[in-house]
Parts: sequence; C-alpha cells; structure tokens
Amino acid sequence: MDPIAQKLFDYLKDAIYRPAKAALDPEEIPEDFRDLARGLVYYVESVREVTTLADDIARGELNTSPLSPGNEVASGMKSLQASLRHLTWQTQQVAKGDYQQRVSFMGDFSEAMNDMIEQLDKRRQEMTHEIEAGHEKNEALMADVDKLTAISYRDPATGIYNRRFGMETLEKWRDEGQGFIICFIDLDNLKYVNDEFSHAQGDAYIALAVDLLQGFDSNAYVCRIGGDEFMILARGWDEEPANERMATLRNEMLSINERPETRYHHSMSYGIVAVGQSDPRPSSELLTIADERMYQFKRAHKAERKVYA
Amino acid sequence: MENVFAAPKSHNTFAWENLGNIKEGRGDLGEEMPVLVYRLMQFTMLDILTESYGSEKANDLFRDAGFLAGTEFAKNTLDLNVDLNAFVANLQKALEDLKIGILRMEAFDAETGNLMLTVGQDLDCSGLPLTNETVCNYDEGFIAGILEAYTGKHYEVREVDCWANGDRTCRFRGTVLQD
Repeated sequence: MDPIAQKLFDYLKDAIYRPAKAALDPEEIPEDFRDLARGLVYYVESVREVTTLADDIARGELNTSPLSPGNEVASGMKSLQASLRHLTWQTQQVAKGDYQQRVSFMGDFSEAMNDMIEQLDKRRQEMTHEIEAGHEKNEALMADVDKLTAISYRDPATGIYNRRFGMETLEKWRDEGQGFIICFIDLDNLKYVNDEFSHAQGDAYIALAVDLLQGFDSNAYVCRIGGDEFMILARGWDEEPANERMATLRNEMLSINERPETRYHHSMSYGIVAVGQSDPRPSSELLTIADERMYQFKRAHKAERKVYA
Repeated sequence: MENVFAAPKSHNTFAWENLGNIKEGRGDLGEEMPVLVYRLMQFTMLDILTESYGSEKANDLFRDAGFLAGTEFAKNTLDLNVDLNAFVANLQKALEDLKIGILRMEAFDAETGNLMLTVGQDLDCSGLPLTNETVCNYDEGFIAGILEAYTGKHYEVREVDCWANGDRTCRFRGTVLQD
C-alpha cells in the first residue's frame, strides 16, 4: 500500500479500535491529500465527541455539553439528550402531581408514557374517590357513635340523663378538682301510684317531677338513677342555698296536692352533700351521705303525707 | 381625496387587530402558507437590515420585533392566569397548532424564574445550512416577550444551541433580569 494511504488507513483503524492512540497531523501529509487528512481528523474528532456524549447519557448525565459548535455528526445524539432532559422535567412535574403533562413526537415512547400518566391519573382519581367515600363512611360512623353515645347517656322514658352519665360526670368533676353539690331525690308514693292508678299515671308523676327538678338550675345535670330516684349535680352551689332551692321546688310539688282534682299525694324527699374542690372523701362515701340525708328527710316528713279518700 | 372611513392607525405601528381577518381575506387560499415564504421574507429583511445597520444591530432589531410579537401573541392567544405547568402546556399546544415549533421545557428554577427550553423543528432555522452561528434572534425575542407577558418579569433569552450551528434542536436559556 502507498505509505500515505497506509498512514491514513492506520489512523482510521486506530480511531475505531484504539481511539486513545489515534493521532494524525495533517501538516505531515502531502498537500494533495492534506484536506482529506483534515476532513478525516475532523470526522474522527466529531465522532469522539458523539461517543463522549453517548457515554454521558448512558450514565444518566444529561447536562454535559462536550460538543464543539457545528458538530453536525452529533445532532441526533443532541436531540436525544434534549428529549431526555425534557422527559426528566416532565416526569418531575408528574411526580409533583401534574397529570396533564403529555409527551409528543417521540413515537411509541410518547404513547407508552402518556398511557402511564393517564393510568396514574386514573388511579389517583380512584384513590381520591375511595378516600372520600372512606371519609363519608367514617363521618357516618362517627355520627352513629355520637348518637349511640348520646342514647347511652339518656334515660329512655324521660329523656333526661341516666345513672351512667351522672356517675361518669361526678368522677370527671372530681378528677378535675371541681366543687359542686350532689342532691339525691326520691319521688314519694310512686309505687302506690303505679299500683293503685296505673303505670301511665306513674309515668305522668315522674314527668311532672322531672319538669320541676330541671328548674333547679339550667346549668345543673338532672339524672334519673332509678325508677323513683334522681340525682342533681350542680357546680357553683353550696349546701345551704341548694337546700333552700330544693325546698322551693318541693313546695311547688306539694301545692299540687291542694288542687281538687288531685287523687294522690305528690311529694319528694332529698338529701344534699357539698363536694369541695379537693375533697378527700371517696365518691362512694359522698353518695352514701347524700342517700342517708335523703332517707332522714323522708322519715322526718312522713307524717305530712296527705291521705286521699 | 380624504377617506374619512379609513382606520386612523398606520400599519407601521403594530396592533393585533391590524393582522386582519385572514380567513375572510383568503377565502380560497386559506390561512396557511409554506414556511418557505416566511423564511423568504425574514431572511431578505435580515439581509437588508444588515446591509443598512450591520449584523449586530440587525439582530437586535429582529430580537425586538420578536419580543413585540411574543408579547402580543401571549396577550391575545394565551391564558395568562393559569399556573406555570398549565401555561407551558397551553404554549406547547399553541406553538404546535400554529406550526411554529415543538416546545419542550428542560428546566425551570422556581426560585429565580430562570429556565432552559428547546424548540424542535423551529420555524426560523430548522434545516438551515450550517454557518456555525446562532440565528434565532427573532425567537429569542419572541420567547422573552411571552415569558414577560406571563410572569411580569424582564427576561433575557439567549439561544445556546442552534440548528444552524449543527444542532437539530434549538436550545434557549431564559434569565430573569434584575430591575
């Protein structure tokens, strides 16, 4: 082979198989072949830049720019780099929740990517609906729980608070260190009214007592703790004014006995105990005291009962 | 003879409405024309401007014209009250529909407002013979005008890669200028 042709051939071979060693100085080439040598060097350098860019892209490095201006050999690779950079941005937007992103002009890849974004959006919408449905169910359940809780604290016959509510409130107030009074009330004669007149009459008698007791204080809790037994829990009251208030209410009830249509004696007995803010006595003791005072009251007023024909 | 019905404005001062009713005016030929005609006008105009003012000034004038076009285009055809992603999506669609180019966002810095985007198959330069120079000065202004209309910030947009210097995609860097 001609020595010049051999030199150019070797350079090209090195450029392909041993690129690090490939070297050619066009100035050493005779003038007739110098432009060919320059073109060859330019082409080899252009390809080398393309290879470097391809390696960078393969490593995921999308922001490098190893190209000389005007390297037309690299234009396809540069378009690929631009597409990947754009896809990176689009994927970041999708990751942030923008499911309106669409890829275009990238053939099958566009279709696959757009399908994926649509599926992600669909799944997100389904999950949103599921979460919303879950919230609604949860709210409905919570409403049911609230309703049941409310029911569990009420006496079904009168609608006022029941024993459970009364005892829990008492313990809660004690835990909070609050001062209040406990008033036990026993409705006199209820058994007699039930037996002699009817349970409907007995219920009316209870309803009348409830109306009366609720007038104790609008902030007090009136609880039915047994068939003919009630308890009032009231903050901001002391024993003496509470006794006076109960005496007033009892007198109101006794006044019913003066009405001509009244067929049985209306009366109630009560016992009050005041609970201090840091009262050392256990609740059971306080309840016993209130109960005892109520029975003392009942015994003391037994003789007052009016007898009806 | 004075025509009292003629519009008082001159066509030498741009106004969006002076673009006229193209659909009606070109009932048979339609609203589209070959890119060749667009480039014929643009590059002959560049030639004459360069001859008169030098290439740097000619490029500046092209950039300024592009800016005016971008601002008016954004104000008259785009919804400027949506979030960035929706705005970019709308812009992409508008540029595709009008066959201006394929816009692709590569990076956006939410803090500074700086961005990098590419325009593929660009109306101005795709397929131009290689000259080792960036030629999309009109595009630079056009993009800056759009960005300014949307963000209210002053942008300097420069083409960092151009088809005419061997890249198949034109890449633009937009930098917010501090007032």
